[in-house]
Formats: sequence, C-alpha cells, structure tokens
Amino acid sequence: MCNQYKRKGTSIQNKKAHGKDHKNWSRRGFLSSFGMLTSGSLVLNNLAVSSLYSNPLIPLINNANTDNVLLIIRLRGGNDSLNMVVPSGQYSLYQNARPNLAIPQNNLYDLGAGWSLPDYMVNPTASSTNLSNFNTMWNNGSMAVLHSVGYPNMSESHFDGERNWATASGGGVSLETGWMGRHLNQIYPNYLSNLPAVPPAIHIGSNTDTMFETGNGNISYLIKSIESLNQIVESGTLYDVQNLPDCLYGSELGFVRSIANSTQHYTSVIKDAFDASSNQVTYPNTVNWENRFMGEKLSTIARLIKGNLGTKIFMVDMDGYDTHDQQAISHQHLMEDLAESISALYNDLSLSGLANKVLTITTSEFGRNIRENGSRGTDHGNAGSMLLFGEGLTSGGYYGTPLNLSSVDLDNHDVAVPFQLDYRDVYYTILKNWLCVDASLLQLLMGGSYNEVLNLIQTCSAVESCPPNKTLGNQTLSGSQTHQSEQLTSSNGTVSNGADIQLKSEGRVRLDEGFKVEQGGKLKVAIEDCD
Amino acid sequence: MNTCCTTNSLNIYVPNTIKPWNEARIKHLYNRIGFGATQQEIAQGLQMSPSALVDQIIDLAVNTPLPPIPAWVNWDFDQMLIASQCYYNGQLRYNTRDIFMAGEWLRAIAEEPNRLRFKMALFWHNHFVTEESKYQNIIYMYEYYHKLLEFGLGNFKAFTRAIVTDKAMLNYLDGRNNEVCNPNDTPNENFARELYELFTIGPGNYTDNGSLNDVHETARALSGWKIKRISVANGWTADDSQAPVYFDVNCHDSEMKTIFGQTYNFDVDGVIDNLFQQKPNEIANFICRKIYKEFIHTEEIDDSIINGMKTTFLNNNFEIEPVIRQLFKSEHFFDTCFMGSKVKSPADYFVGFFRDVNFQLTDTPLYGGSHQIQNNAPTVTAGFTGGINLGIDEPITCSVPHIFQPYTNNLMGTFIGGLNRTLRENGQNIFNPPNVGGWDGHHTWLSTSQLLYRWERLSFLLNSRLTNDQQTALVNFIKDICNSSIDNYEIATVVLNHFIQRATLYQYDRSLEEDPNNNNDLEVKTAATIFAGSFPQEEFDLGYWSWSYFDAFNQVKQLIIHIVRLPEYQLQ
Repeated sequence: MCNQYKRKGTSIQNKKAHGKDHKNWSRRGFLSSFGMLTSGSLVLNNLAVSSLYSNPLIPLINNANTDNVLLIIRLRGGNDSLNMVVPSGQYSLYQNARPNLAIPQNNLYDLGAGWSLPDYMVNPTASSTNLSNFNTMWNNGSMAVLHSVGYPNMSESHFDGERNWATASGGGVSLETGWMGRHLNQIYPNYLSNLPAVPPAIHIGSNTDTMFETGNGNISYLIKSIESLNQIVESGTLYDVQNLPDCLYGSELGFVRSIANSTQHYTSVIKDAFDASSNQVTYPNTVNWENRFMGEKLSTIARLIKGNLGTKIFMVDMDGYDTHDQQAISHQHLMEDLAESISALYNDLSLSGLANKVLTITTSEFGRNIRENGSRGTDHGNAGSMLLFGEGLTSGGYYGTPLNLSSVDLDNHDVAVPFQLDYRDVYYTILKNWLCVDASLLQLLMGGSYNEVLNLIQTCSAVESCPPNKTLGNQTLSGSQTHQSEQLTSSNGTVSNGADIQLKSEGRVRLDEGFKVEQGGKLKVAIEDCD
Repeated sequence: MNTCCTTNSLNIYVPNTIKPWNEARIKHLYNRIGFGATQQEIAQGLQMSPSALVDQIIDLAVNTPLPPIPAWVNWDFDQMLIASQCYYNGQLRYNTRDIFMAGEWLRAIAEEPNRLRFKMALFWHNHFVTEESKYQNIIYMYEYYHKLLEFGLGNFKAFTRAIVTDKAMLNYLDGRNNEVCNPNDTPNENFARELYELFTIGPGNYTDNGSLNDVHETARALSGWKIKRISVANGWTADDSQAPVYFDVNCHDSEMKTIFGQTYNFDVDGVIDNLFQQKPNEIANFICRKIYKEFIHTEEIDDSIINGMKTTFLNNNFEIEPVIRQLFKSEHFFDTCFMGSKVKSPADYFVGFFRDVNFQLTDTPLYGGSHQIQNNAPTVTAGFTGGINLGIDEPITCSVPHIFQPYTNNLMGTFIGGLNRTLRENGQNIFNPPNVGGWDGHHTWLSTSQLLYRWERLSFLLNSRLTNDQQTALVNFIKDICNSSIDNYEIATVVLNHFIQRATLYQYDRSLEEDPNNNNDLEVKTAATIFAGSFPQEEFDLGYWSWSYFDAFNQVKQLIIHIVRLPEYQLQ
C-alpha cells in the first residue's frame, strides 16, 4: 500500500508553506529532492562526471562558458525575402519580375549599396512607443543582412527544407539530430537523468522542433505561453519521491514523479524570472493574426532574459510565410509584425543594458521564386536573405554575395535566387564566436567542415567576472589535495588510485580529453557561481 | 530495488482470493492489449474467466476481416497527381498522412473492438521500422501498413519475407539501390545488416566483416529488387507506385554465396529459408524478448518466461498468435507487480483518455478540428509534389471531388482530426519513428516538455473545446460511474479508481481521519477538495449538492484535469 506521506508544504493544501518551499529550493536541494544526487555520482556544473568519461564525444567540460543568448526566429513557410530586403538598385528588373508585388519605389528605405527595406518595416504603423526602429539599428551597426543564404541543391519541400535547416543538412549531408540538440547535448550529456537547473533551451511554440533533437529526445523546454504556465504553478504539487509504494510500481511512479517535479520546477523558475522583471517598452499587439503573437512571444523572452533565468537558447516560430496566393497584404503584415517586435525587443533590452548579450537571427526553410506567380503570390524558391540583430555584431551591414538579377534567367517563371552563402557557415560562426564553443568541437557539432563568416560576430569573450585559468598541466594528482578559489584547467592529468582530490572553484573547471580518474581515485568538485 | 515480481509461470492464470479477477485486472489486460477498456467491456469481462476473455479478444482480432482497400490505392499516376495538387497546394504527403492515419489507424485503435490487430500493427511498425519522410509515397505507406495488419498476428517468417520486398522498405533501407549489374558492382548492405541486427536475430549472431561476411553475402543475394519507373512529363520520371516490385535478374548477383556457413546460390527466398533454418533459436529469442518488453515490462525481464515463449514460437513454426495468446493468459501477465508499471505512450495516453471519458473520436468539438480543408483549392500553376518538380505547366482545376474527401469530410473537425498531430507533437509521430531502431518507449516517452504538453493539451481540450452537449454527456457519464452519489469523497474515490490503474484501489474513510494508522489515500482528499471547489464541504456533508448544480460541469472538469496530470495517470 502506498504511503501517501508528504513533506509539509509539498502540496497545495498548505499554500503558504508551499510557496515557501518553492523559494527555499537551492539548486542542490532541487537535485537531491529529486533523487538525482546518488552516491558515487558527482555533479559537476550539471554534468555527471562518471557518465562524462564514458562518452567519447565529450572531451571538454563546461566549454560554453558565456552568458551570451541566442534567439532564433523561424519564419515558417519560406520567406519571400526579396520583398523584405529589396533589390532597389536593380529596380526595373525587380519590378518586371513582380508587376503586382514589387514594393513601390517611393515606399522604400534605402540601406545603401542598392538594397532597401520596405518603409513599413522601418516605420511601422502599429502604435508603439519604441525608441528606435530598424533604421537606427542599421545605422548603429546592430543589424546585418546576409545575402543569398542557402545550401547546394536546395530542397523546395517545406519538410525537407525545415529538416535541413534544423539539422545542418543538405547538399549531400544528411544528419538526424538538430544542430542545437548536438550543441546542448554536448554541454548536458545526461540531461534526462541529470536535469540542468534551468532549461537549456526554451522554445515558445506548439511543436517540439528537430533543431533540439539530441538523438535521445528533445532538449528544449516547449511552452505555449506564460499564461499556460500560471495555472501549472498555481495548481502545482510537489510529489514525494522518497516515500513510494513498494515494488516495481513504486519505482516507476518515482520516475514519473521526478519528471513531474522537474516540470514543476522548470515552470516555477521560468515564472519566477518572468515575475522578477518587466517590459520597459510597449510591444506590438498586432492581433491574433495567423496565430502569431510575435510581440507577446518576444516580450516574454525579454522578461526571461532580464529576469536572469539563465537559459541561453530561445526559439520562436512565426507562421504564415507560405505566400503562394495574394501575398501583398499578408506579407506586409508579417514584415511589420517582425520588424516592430524585434525593434521593441532591442529597445527593451537596451534599457536594461542587455542589447549586447542577445543575438537574434531569422531563418526560413527556403526563399521564394524571383518572379511572382499567376495568383499574385510567389512559389517555393531557393536562397534568401537572413537578418541578424544585436550589439554583439561586429559592425552590422551586408555579408555574402548579393543577387544579380541580370545574371539569372528571368524568362523562366521558376527562377530562384541562387545560393551563395552556406547557412551552415552562419551556424558555425555563431557556435564559435557567440556561443564560445571550443574550436576542437566545431566540426563534430556541425557534422562537417564549414567556414567562419568573417567579421560578422566579435570573437567570443568568456564571462568576464571569472578569474583567469590556472593550468594544472600534465600531472598526476595523488594523495589528498584541495585546490580552491581558482580556475582550474587540466589536460592529460590523472587522479590516481587512492587519491582524494577536491577541486573547489569559483567558476570553470576544465578537464581536457586526456584527463582521467583511475579506479579507486576520487575526484570531488565543488562549483560556485562565478559572479 | 525490490520489484516484488514473483516467479509466476506461463501457466494459465486462475483467479484466487489473493489474485482475484477484478476490474483492475481487466483494465490491465485491455491497457496492454491496447488503449483501455470501455465500461461495457469491463462489465462483460467480469462475467467471463480470464482465459475466455483473452480468447475472445484474440479470436476477434484474428477473425475480423481487414478493412477494405481504399479505392485510391489503385489510382494511376495522373489521378494521384491531380489529387495532390488539389489538396493543400500540392502538399499531398503530409496532410494526407494525417487524414489517412486518422481514418484508418487511430480511429481503429480507438473504436474497434478488435483493436488488438491494430495494436499489433503499431508494435510491428516499431520493429520493421520505415520512415515515411524518406519514402514519401502514400501508396507505399498503405501497402506497408496493410502488411503490418495482415501479418501482425500471423507467421513471422512469412512476415519477414513480405517486408524484404515491401516498397516502403526497399526505399527506406536502400534495397532498391542494391544492384549488382556488373561484376565490379558492390552491393548495398543497408537492408541486409538491419535484417539481422534489428529485425530477426540481433547483434552478435552474424558476421559483418572478414572473409565470412554474412551481411555482405546476404546483400548480394538480395540484389536486383526494383520499383518500376515511368516517364511522366517534360522528361521527368517517377515511380510507378501501383506496379508490383520486380526482380531484375541482370542486376542480381547470381554467383554462389556463403551465409551462416551454408554455401548456395541464394536468392531472396533462399535467404529467408536459410535464416530460419540456421538461426531458429536466435530468432525466437530476439522476437519473444521484444514481445515481452512491449507487453510485460521493458526492464524487468524474466528469462524463464521468455524461454517458455520461445518454445511456443518454435513449436508453432514462428506463428505469432499462439505466443501472444499464451502470454496474455498467463499468471505471469496478471502478476500484480506489473500492473501500472509501464509509462503510457502518447497513443496510450490520449486515445486512452478518450475512452476513459467515453467520448467518440468521431465526435465534433467546438470550432472544428485543427485543419481547414480546401474542397475547391485554387488552380495550380506549377506542378510540385513530394520534392520532385514534375514540370506541369497546365493549370489544374480542382472541380471534381477529390479522392480523399470521404475521409476528410467525415473526420475534419472531429477529435480525431487533431489526434495524429497531438501524438506527433507529443513524440510519437506515427509512420515516422525517430530512426531505424524505432521508439525506445517507456521512460523515453516522458520528458519535462512532453509531460507539460500532456497536461496542457487535455486542459485545453476540456477548458475550451467541448460543446454544450459534450459537457452534459461528460457530467452524465461521471454521474453514472458514481452511481449518482452526491458525496464528494465517494465521487473522488470512484473517479480516481476509474482513471488510474494500480494494484490497489483508492480508498478513504473519513471516520478514520484521526486514526494515525488509517489506510486513507490522501490523494482522495485532495481530489475531493478539488471537486468541491467553492462549494462548502459542510454543505456536501449535509447532502445539499446535486448533479444538477449549475457548476457541475466545471467541478467535473477540474477533477478530471487534476487526475490526468497525476503521475499515476501516466502509467498503465
């Protein structure tokens, strides 16, 4: 018979104690109350050391030592980027290809070098009190346009295109797992059993995304909206994982209860970060059009970042880009919503001094054909422009080779923008320069060799408040030693049989690939927050 | 961990006072056979012996004819093309899959009394894995699905032989590219390796390198099986999906091969005969273990039971049905320790929920389903389907009702219309397992995100999708199972026991609340409090509440939302 004993404060019956219980969760308390700290398994900054060494793909611990945040906005359906970044320097060819859809010449905002944005992206019509818009971001160097981004032999299928962009596949490369899934799984190899203290990635949407597939599940925390979390938090119950019914049923129930508690916990930390902060600008409230809610989604993300949640990867979906038919108004609405939401986000982050900590990128599974079709829409094409935002950009501006409309066959109604810049070069650059992934891992995570997009993003800087590394070097650690209050890096070291080593650090402990703990040796690591 | 699983045998379970034949065991049987039990099935089961009930379920599955083959399976290329163009701007593949799935498979597992057949098909889909995202052809999907149904309780050897030249499989594991047309051609080993590693005998029972290479030799023997190509338009070719697969002797390696030490001029039939002659024990062990893990437990495995199943499998010449029948009838299957020990798959959870609340999946919730159908889609100017540009320049007008309308018209806007999407979003994308190894199941079904998804999905359904009639029906159903009780503790107890399956029933005696040794389930008290809501307990105690109370639906709803979130409801 299951003994239903519960610790005081673990259920809603005692609401006051319950609230207090939430507040008293330390990370360690969190882990141990869910049975995750078991004897013999060390927890090192969310990694179980024991499992670390059994995984040959994990040469480094905690290499993502950065507080940079990446926000991926996915434009679903294939964005018509020629009506986003307009080839105004080749206007007559552009207009001939799009007699009904070309943005009128006097409604363009010139970015220079023969390219423009539609006015409605620069001066949105919807009411807002935003301090700056895309024009100021462009002029400040915190906006970049990447021309003709794609990959060889681009697929014009939504499914294959999305899958390629999610996994870093295409052009002869076929990968099963997501590029972010690989990145995060490398940081949190045992994330299912050894839950990170905060969600490694948050995806606001309705469908888990292949981008976060690790091969062993999906590492993103998928939420629909903060409202939906409210109810979970308010009705939340912490389940007892210590006093369980007997037998197999009890152990299985313990498993589900620990997942439920973790879900509660994630919901709580997200909600806490959200409640601890506020938006300092007004976000667009462009109605529930195509179910997008972009303003609401980005305002939520701003609050989670400002509330110090600690999650580093965010993703939002924006639907409605499959504009085969009568696209003029619908695409304009999309662009206005996108531009105004992103502007609001960066204004909001600026007021908290965080605009240099968040890099935003837009992706879409393909661009659309250069020529409009017979129903005043555009059909599936190939390459397209990508937009990047944030003060972490080196200087903003243009990257890649722009489309030359005189060099494509405009008589062919299916003519598409030829690809020039591989999107995986962009991913590579983000991993290397923004997420601070060690150079030795890049090829593994990307599933191939790619090139840095030069001068796009400033070289990675580690968390500044951390003390400098101290290298233990190639040595055998034996006997009983304590290393304290310093950054430790060790390569090819060994903790010998019988040794009892304590590493105490205020930040990173980095043990390189050759480092091993011999059987009988003990390695205990205590990490305190750097800042 | 004390699992408490006794060493019960494969002997037929005979109820006794310690292991009575009760509602919990009937639910256990139906949960494992597939997707819960209706009230009628439970009532009827209590009147039968366990053995007779298992016989009835299995006989029904075996004897019920398979669903008729849909007419569109035999449509020619042009007809399929037009249909695809007229459906969601040419996105035949996705959306048809949803509708097809909804129409054929999910409806069947949700509503067919003979759902064991469909449950077995789902089991074998996770064994002989193919992914629709690779073969991208609805005809191949149907033919593959039909084989899963046809052989799911049939002969495993015949099943394996049929899968070798299945079109979905020939595409998925590159069998169609396994050509030896010239003496220097090397065969494609992809299928041959999985045939042994994942489909029949498991790793370690064959060689795949060195001079005695079973995989390489098998690939040679299987070379030459192809799918017919036809010209379509503007120089493009495409698969002739309806044409039978054919054997191209010119691209078959007809030299001698040595497989498992036997040297012969093997062809496809020879490969299968040789495999089942040389490796019967390995096959029986591999397959019976997999069946055990699916129907009993993934990790708590009793090898003596698997040995008994092996004997049955071998004595019956690889017939699947006797193994299943013996297992389901056994005292091992009905061992208390396995009850409620398996994490529900998304299909178990969501389809089971519909059965638990007595909804028909063909019921129509508010606002329609998740899809909007275009019966008269706009004209299409550029032909494009399945990733192949077919170069169609002629506009196609969708003036004729297209072939999927019988499905779409019947199912759009029903619960079932969104069910496949729900399962996909919850991690069980039917027809697209994550890889050739299939879904790992059990613990891997639940992550923090996936649990949150389950909570939110059913809250959303109950909070904002039900029509007034459905709300009333739900209240009446709960009232019925509670025998019209107006005691909120009694209601909470009955409803908990209705939804949650565990070895012991929930119970609560309020008169014993002060007794430190009481056996009360505090969960009942929590549920009763939630059900009461703002209605004072004192007035419940005075009998003032009634099922016609204006807020009764809301009370029922809050109770159900609470229960479907419980960790206990994630188990079966």
